[in-house]
Amino acid sequence: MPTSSGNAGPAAQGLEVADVVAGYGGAPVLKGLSLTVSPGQVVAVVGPNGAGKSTLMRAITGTVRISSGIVTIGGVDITKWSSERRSRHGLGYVPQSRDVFDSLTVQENLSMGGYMLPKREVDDRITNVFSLFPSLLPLRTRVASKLSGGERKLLGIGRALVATPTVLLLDEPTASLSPELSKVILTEHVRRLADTGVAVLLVEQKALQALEVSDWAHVLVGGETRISGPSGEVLARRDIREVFLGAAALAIEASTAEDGKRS
Amino acid sequence: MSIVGSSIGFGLITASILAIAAVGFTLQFGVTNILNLAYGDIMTAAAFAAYFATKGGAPLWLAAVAGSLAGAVLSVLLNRFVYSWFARRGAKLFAMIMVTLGASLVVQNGMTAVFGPDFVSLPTSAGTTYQVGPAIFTGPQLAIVALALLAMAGVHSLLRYTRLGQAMRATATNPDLARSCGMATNRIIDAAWLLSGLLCGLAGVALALNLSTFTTGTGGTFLIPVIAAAVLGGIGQPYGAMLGALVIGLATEVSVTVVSPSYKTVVAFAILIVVLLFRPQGILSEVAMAKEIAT
Repeated sequence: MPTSSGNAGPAAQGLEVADVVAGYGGAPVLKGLSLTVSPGQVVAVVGPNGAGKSTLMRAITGTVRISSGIVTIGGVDITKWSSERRSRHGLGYVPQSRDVFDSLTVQENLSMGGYMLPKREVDDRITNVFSLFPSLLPLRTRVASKLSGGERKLLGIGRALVATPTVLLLDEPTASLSPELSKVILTEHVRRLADTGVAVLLVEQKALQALEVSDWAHVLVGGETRISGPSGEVLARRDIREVFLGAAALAIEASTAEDGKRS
Repeated sequence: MSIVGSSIGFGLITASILAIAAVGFTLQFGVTNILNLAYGDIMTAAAFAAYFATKGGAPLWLAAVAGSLAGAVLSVLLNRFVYSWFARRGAKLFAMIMVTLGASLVVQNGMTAVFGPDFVSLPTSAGTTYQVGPAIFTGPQLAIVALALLAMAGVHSLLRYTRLGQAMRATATNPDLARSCGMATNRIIDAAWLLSGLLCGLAGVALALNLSTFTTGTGGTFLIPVIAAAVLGGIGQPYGAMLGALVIGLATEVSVTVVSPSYKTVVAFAILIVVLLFRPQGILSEVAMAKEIAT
């Protein structure tokens, strides 16, 4: 059984994923993935469909079983913890869809975000979220199911922020948004969040935009990291497009024939 | 004229009992995702608990408390030791309905085995009646209406203003997200069983009080209009269940002035079918109910 006596040193702040193998009972989807997100950093994980991005998210939030490897937050091994316990420990998560409580109002959604905090603190933090996302303030009594796509996403992020997480996972935050709105969410909000000291792990299908706002990037293919490096460098690589397209082709092959070939 | 008036009176009492039962039933389904067909039999068990309390010398109000608590405890136990056992093994909605049907049969026949098939009755304080408009009510009947109003106000305040109530609604709409907000959804689901069981027990006692006699099959039979009320309002929606109970309670009793009383249930279902033709999601859809809570 892996314990925190492994490589996660006491200095490991933020999120660390080390050699994680995880899946749904059959062949593992993640085949030994490692990454680190330090406080104040935005780390992007990009890759084609089926690369294991969502599985990575689920492994970190605790809804997929990790068969080997460890996940630590702030140096504490959380690999065996329940989802609830992970969020209590500072893990914030904004799922790609169903990221708000549809039948609750904006205000109620935010207060649910602070469910595990004392009531007095929650009100302060909700005020903070409203100052961060002022467009939500006039909507506070509106039911979440009546929000627009962009408002909804801000609410989803805001809800996660009420708990003041040290690590924030964003699963394709721009998936259902217009290009302009995507830009605003990524370049303004996500970046600004990291600047407050949160470790942000951003999973994106819109690879270019994600590379532009992130500090570090992992290109995930077939459950493994294909390219990893500072986002600027990854973006500048001449072969990025081929890796990406090749990877996409490979992923399709791999899904039909087991054990995809190496490029 | 006065026949219609008094049937409206009866309708209000039936609606009150239905409302308590249907709100409990719909809350249970909404939060726990289990359509509990043993609900009516737990009502019966609660009525028997109240019956034995009065036999032991307890005053009626205390017997009602005992019945409600019995409903709550039995519901929690039923979930803990039967339903959750199946749920953990992956039983989904329909398999689970069969499990609850089985539980219903076991509970009902178990009671018949232990308590016997005879009709029993709660001692209602004899005599005093109250004239309200054209209708004449007994004391316990007025108490039932008052208790229903109180229960509805209580459920409303709980769901709207308390953390636990909000967490129940959150768990009902999106359990995964609830967990990632740090909610121990298992405990919230336990709380939902407790609360819905309390309403179930209270409804059982109210039903026994209103029918002059009851037997081990009484609650099971009453479950049919309860489900009709819950579905009419939009299953899982507490406010819908209240509205559904009012419509079905009034309609079934008023129909008695026109058709034979044995058609009461038929009337309830005729209304249900007509409404569902036009609004398959029930009177209050999820969005509508959320809006109602919000304002």
